[in-house]
Amino acid sequence: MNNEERLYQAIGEVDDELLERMERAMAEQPTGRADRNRNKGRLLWQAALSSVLIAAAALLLIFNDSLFHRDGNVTYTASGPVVDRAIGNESSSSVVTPGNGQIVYFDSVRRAFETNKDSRTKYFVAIDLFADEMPLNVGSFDTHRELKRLQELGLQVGYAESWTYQGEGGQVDYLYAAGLLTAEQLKNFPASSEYGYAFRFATNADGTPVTTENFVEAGSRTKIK
Amino acid sequence: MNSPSSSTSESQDEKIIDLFWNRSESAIGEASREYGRYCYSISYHILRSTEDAEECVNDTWLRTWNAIPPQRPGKLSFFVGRIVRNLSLDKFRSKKAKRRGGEMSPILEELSEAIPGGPDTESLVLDRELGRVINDFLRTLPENACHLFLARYWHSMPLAEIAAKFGVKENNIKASLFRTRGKLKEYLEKEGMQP
Repeated sequence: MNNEERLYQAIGEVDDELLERMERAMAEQPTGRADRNRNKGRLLWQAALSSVLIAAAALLLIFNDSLFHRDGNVTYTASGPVVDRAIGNESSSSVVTPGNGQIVYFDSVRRAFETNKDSRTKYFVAIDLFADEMPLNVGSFDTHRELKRLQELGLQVGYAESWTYQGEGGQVDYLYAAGLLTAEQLKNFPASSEYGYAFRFATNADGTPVTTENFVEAGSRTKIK
Repeated sequence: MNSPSSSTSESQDEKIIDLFWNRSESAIGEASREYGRYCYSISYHILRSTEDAEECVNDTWLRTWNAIPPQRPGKLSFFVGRIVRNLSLDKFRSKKAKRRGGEMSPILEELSEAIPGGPDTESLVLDRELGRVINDFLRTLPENACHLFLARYWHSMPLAEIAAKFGVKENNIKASLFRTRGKLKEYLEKEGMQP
């Protein structure tokens, strides 16, 4: 037996626990190829509905900004001004995958930095975590560990809840990693060399922004009001 | 590949293991019904031959019969998966299987990149020690990289299948595997896994 075969054979002896985690991750993927084909019609219908609703939301933003923005794109909480949204659409060029140790700010977040000069302003952002340029599951141990590390560095990070469409007219909530961070904290973000980070403003499926009411700090059971 | 882990309950595993344990002749039939496709899928990825894969799967039940008792596996799918994997590797080593192609040749070629001192180095390490080091190494990886590594090098899945299962582009999978092989080589060197 040569070395490659010996290595291959040795890989066969890995712990059950690692294999179980892999199979669980595989099962958690929402759409395998077969599922995609099976759900194609439903997904097309959902995509069409989402597009109409997003377009409607965009029109509302353009023609009646005050409907969604009580005071520009800043809302006020007990802790001071909070930015949880930005006016205008995201340009496709801003959507890139960060490599390990890299940070990507979506255009909307960059624009918000320029618009809001108050250093006390906090930005309520979604934190998309990547490892080796692949997104981490929000429920994964790695995500939990990284949020804990950031929290120990004094950053207000945790999880937020958004919703998307599911089935015919139904809605389903989902979690994502989020942070309530100042511009300085975002610009000097303590990135780990193990992960990539993308910061954006999260929205629900109808285009409305997710607010801080849906934010829970890591390790806490209470939502921030 | 249909992963039985999601659909087969632990109690069903226990029942089948009990059948083997009690030397019940229905054990093999039950195991085959539950894990036959799973084992066949692993073997077929390696051998790319229906006939050979079926032969390996049949041999797997015999090996399992001989192994339980005295062994009592935790998760039966991984236990029979390891057996069929090893049987398929043995069969692959015949020249006939190598010529036929399948996933095994590219997988072994890829793994050669992870071997300290290059692929011609003789006698890498004692197998048992190597297994322990690989386990330790995999625990240093980010979760996704670990999952992709195992999908490719434990399940011997083709890249396209991994892409479909994990919803990740093939190029990203290749890049991740490339980086992981590099890390594995460094780790093996650090652990003194070279002659």
